[in-house]
Amino acid sequence: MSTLLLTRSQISELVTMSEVIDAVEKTFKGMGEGDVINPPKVHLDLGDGDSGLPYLAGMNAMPAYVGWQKIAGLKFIGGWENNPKKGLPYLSGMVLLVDPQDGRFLAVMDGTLITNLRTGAQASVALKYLIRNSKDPVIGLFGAGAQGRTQTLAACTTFNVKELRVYDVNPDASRAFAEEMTQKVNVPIQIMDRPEDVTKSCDAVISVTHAKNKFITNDMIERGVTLLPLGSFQECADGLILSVDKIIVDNVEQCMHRGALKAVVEAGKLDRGDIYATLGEIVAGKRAGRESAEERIICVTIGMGALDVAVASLVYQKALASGVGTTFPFV
Amino acid sequence: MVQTRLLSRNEVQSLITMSEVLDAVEKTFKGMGEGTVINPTKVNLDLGETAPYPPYGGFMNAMPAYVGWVDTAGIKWAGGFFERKKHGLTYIASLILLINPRMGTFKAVMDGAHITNLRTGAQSAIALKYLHPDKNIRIGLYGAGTQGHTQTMAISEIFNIERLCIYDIAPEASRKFAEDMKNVVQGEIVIAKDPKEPADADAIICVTQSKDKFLKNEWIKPGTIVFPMGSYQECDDDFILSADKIIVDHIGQCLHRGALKELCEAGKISEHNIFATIGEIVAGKKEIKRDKNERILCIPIGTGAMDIAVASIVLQKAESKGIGGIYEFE
Repeated sequence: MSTLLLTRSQISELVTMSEVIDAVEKTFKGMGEGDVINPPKVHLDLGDGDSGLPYLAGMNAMPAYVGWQKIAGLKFIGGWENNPKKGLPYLSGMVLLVDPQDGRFLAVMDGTLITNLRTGAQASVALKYLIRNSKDPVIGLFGAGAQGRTQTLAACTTFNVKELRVYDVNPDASRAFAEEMTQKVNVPIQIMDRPEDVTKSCDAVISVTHAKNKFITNDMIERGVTLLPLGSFQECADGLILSVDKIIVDNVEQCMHRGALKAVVEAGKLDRGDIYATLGEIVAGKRAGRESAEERIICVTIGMGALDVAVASLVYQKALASGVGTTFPFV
Repeated sequence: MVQTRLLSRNEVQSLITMSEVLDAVEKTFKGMGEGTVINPTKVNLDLGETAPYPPYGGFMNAMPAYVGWVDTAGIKWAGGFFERKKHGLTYIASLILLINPRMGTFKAVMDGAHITNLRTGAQSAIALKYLHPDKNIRIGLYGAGTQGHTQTMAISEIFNIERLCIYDIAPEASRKFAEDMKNVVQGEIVIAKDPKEPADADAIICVTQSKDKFLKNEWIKPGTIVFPMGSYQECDDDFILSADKIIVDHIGQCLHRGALKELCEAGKISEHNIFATIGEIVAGKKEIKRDKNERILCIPIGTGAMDIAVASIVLQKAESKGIGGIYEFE
């Protein structure tokens, strides 16, 4: 019984962003329709919490079953805060796929590229349903790292982006980003000196930073803007979260305990009742997305294992079809 | 380039002995008691084991852990599928990943079935080592499958088994077990005709898939230690509620799976009814002074930490002997 092994570079050649976006959209639809099983992720604290371990890291185990592909899988992934200083990637992860009929392990593959691709795709699927101007939007981006790149790729695959504005606390990162991405997406990229310049007259704002200082304030987000805070920490000011017209999330339970909403929930200022809908309900057509050009919408997608499993399954199918990868007989 | 070692079930099998597993399990229990093991409650993906959808009749458990004494993090992802038996496969499918906690590199991917079987046997044997100070022991065993074999192998490494009485709903399974284990068990192996017979023992071990609470309170004599190792319901409620001490490996997990689940959900058992964890006893943090007439219920339901610890020893040996494949995932 053989298990297929796939490297990061093989994965990058097997799927395109538009295929990833398609898989992510179908999986959100499945979540809305109830044919995706996605238990809450379990966290292994390696020093990012109160375990006392010295590694400044943590890992998440994210199992899921995706109905439209009839596949089960698990992503095991973590972030190491000290890695970038050592020249190592921040993320390290792996995805396992299982045949749900009989539990055979079908594939073991790198999980970091899949994570970056699907995180980009989940934001652009959200925007597809929530942005006010889908013809030629202006998009603001906070964070010029690996996630910023896949966000840009996904947004420019989905929309005819008129202009992309980027801000990073490290100006060198912004310059390197602009140089690399201008060639890749053929969209004008403006480097901004101040965060407030990014959000001015934007249609959508995507934030992929490690910020904990709530730097996106209420006055920065104009009427009609869709804001996607994707960082795991605190990018949005309380006043902003509490005054938007709609809060949409990928998973209600998860968003109460992690990411952008965590602090206001813990302070007792926000509860489940304040969540307008899940993104899955909107994609499945069970709830309306944007209902006016004036609405300010925050969409918080923390990330669900089902998306990783869905993208990994797509990668697996394409690898089988093209004979890519190595096999190993674990059993 | 990060190199990840790949190990198949046969390779894992060739690399580890029960006595090494016992040593790793004991050190890991000690670490749990001392607080150097991180073991979140496992998360279950229900593929139809209990849920109506999806309809596969299986489940997968994700069991991440960090084990201090081997300084390794990892996860076991394991599940059970009845469909597998039709294809001549083991009921359990399992894979273990090991990670260097300093920078997150994946050190190994290996089959987890053999490790699971050995460490499950070793868990109850190590618990018995601390609960039954006498070298001689009489064992009552329910379930003559793979787990029944590894339980017996583990106990016989630590104790002189004077008598082992085996019961299985399939009599031919009991006969095969007796044949397989005749050189492992020091004393006699008795095949029970009546499920009541094995209960007359120093320790009763249940490794069945029973859901019908077959082990009756009145069968269990004073002084007996009972290990219900199955994931379902092997002991009747009266015994669980009248046992003098309840000892578990992981409180969160034991209240939500296995023998205590139903009573916990009914509000009849809670954290306050747990006397100690096995880790606290092995680490010497809770003293167990045994009254000869006490009936003890001990539930080592199984933790990812045990799998990660044993897998780390397997990896060390594979590296020094140059066994297994190498793959660069990134």
